[in-house]
Amino acid sequence: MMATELSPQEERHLLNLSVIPAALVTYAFLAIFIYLERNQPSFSSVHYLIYFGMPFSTAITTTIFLSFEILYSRKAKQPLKCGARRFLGRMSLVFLAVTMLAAILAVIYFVFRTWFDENILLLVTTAFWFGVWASLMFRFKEAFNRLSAGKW
Amino acid sequence: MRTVIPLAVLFDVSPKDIEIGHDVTLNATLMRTDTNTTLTGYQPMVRFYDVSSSSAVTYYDVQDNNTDGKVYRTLTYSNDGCAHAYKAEVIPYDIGGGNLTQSIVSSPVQLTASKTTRFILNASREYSSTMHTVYGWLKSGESGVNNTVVKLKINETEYSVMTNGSGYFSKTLDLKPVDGAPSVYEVMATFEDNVTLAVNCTAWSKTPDGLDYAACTTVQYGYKPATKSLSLTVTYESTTVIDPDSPEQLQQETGEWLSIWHEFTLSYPWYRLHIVVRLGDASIDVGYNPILPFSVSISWAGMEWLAETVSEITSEIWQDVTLDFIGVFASYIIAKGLSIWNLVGGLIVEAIKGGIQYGLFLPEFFRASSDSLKMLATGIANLIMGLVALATDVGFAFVKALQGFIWSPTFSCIMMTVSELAPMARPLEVMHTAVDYVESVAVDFPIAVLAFLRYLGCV
Repeated sequence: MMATELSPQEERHLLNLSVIPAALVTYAFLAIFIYLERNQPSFSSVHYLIYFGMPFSTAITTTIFLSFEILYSRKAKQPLKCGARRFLGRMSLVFLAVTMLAAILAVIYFVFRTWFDENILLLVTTAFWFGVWASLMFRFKEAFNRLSAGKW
Repeated sequence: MRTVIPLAVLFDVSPKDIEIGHDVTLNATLMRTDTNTTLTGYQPMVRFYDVSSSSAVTYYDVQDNNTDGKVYRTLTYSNDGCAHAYKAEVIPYDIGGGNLTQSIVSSPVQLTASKTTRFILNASREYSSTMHTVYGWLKSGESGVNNTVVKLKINETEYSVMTNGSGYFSKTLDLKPVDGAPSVYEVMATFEDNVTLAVNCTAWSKTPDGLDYAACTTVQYGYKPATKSLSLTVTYESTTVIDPDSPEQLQQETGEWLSIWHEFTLSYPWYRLHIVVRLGDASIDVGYNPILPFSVSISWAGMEWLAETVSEITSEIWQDVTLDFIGVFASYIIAKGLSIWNLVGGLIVEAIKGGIQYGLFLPEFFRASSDSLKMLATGIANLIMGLVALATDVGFAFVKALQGFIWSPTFSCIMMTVSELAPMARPLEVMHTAVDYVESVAVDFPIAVLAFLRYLGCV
């Protein structure tokens, strides 16, 4: 069977379709989390980011990229492993982003938590993480595109 | 031979510490001094005297119908500005072939009289800052204690405030959390009447041998001291007031709903007629000169909750919408800067932004009470942003419809921001990318639904 390349428009359509399983995963995740955690009102924003936000970010991107590969392999009539490099590349970007966020959060949170409110720390972390992440992405644009396209 | 039964009167007043305007009970127990027992079997008559410091004397004759030697009379301690003292004397009574007569003095009584006072105390906070208003009323009975000094001690600092015509007082201060940690501010309102002079009154009686003696002495003071405490726990986001008076209590205690007072000034317009309308703990005072133009003055008190409500909803919406826009543009810039077709970078940013949004939302969600305005505001803001991400036109229509219900400068700012910024996202929005779907389907709508459910008390 001859493998076919998909056009960027088709790829985008498949990526959009992948949001459906990701949304289902989110709702299930949210329902379980609220069921389990509703008696923990003393947790702070940072706890919720660590216990829910980071797993959420990872789960939703993983589901989207995995669903995309499944849909892609069916549409392009390829075995699933053909998209393995692309999936791994994208997942490494996700882990890089989440790890960076966690590292920045740890530094900002433990250094400044005595003086600042947690929500403010969280927002500062977000802004700082975004600045670093965006500058890295623009600085290593080619490497990023190669990683996310599976051509490495 | 006529029999004389010699009697002594054990006179007592209860309570000893009289509240002006309230009832006092005068008790006279008649004792036989010959047998040293309570007089029984006769229906003697006792005369209770109410002696005023203005020298007016009123008396009440009460007969012992129970023949148990005990006679009572309940009177109201008059709120006429005079002190009152009481005494009881046996009226000589013919029992047929003899009589009852008071042979020795009645037991003397010491009384104090004063008006009780109480505080109604609460505190409110401006939503957008750490300015707090401690407010309340100093009441005596159902009326306010007017033009008097109330001391407010907040932690170790003491402030003096004056009460107005209805006993209302308030003090606005900037109370910040110390070192970013939740800080407790102890508020204590105290009142001591140092102005009213004490008035004395004595009811004089005569001993059997004709000497004057004080049967009852009353010292009447002004207002009794009062005190009331509150505890405020201040964080950057909110303030918890511990032990405030409930709104129902405030409403119940506030008294008359409409009152009028006159203001005379040295400057224009020289005279203002003030009409004060009171609803619950809120009062609006409208002053105007019936003839001269530009003389209207409007002031309000106790309406902090209303300003707070509108400002809380709008500033919450504003905050959420702003954050969301920053996130949307961040993912948009990343996606576009790298490649408009390669949405992976934008998707990762969007997912992490969603995670942080949940990190900020969930603690509020678990902490919020069922009718929390913050939840309502968060619900509205996320509904707006979810709609804007999915279908900009529907989002606009929703914001316009909301404007009919809520008006405030902040809300107009939200409206402007949404209408100015949203078209900039259109190149991405028209394409309906995975980034938009994640934004609306996985983040904004679930948060909006959860927030509304929490507000309605369903979750």
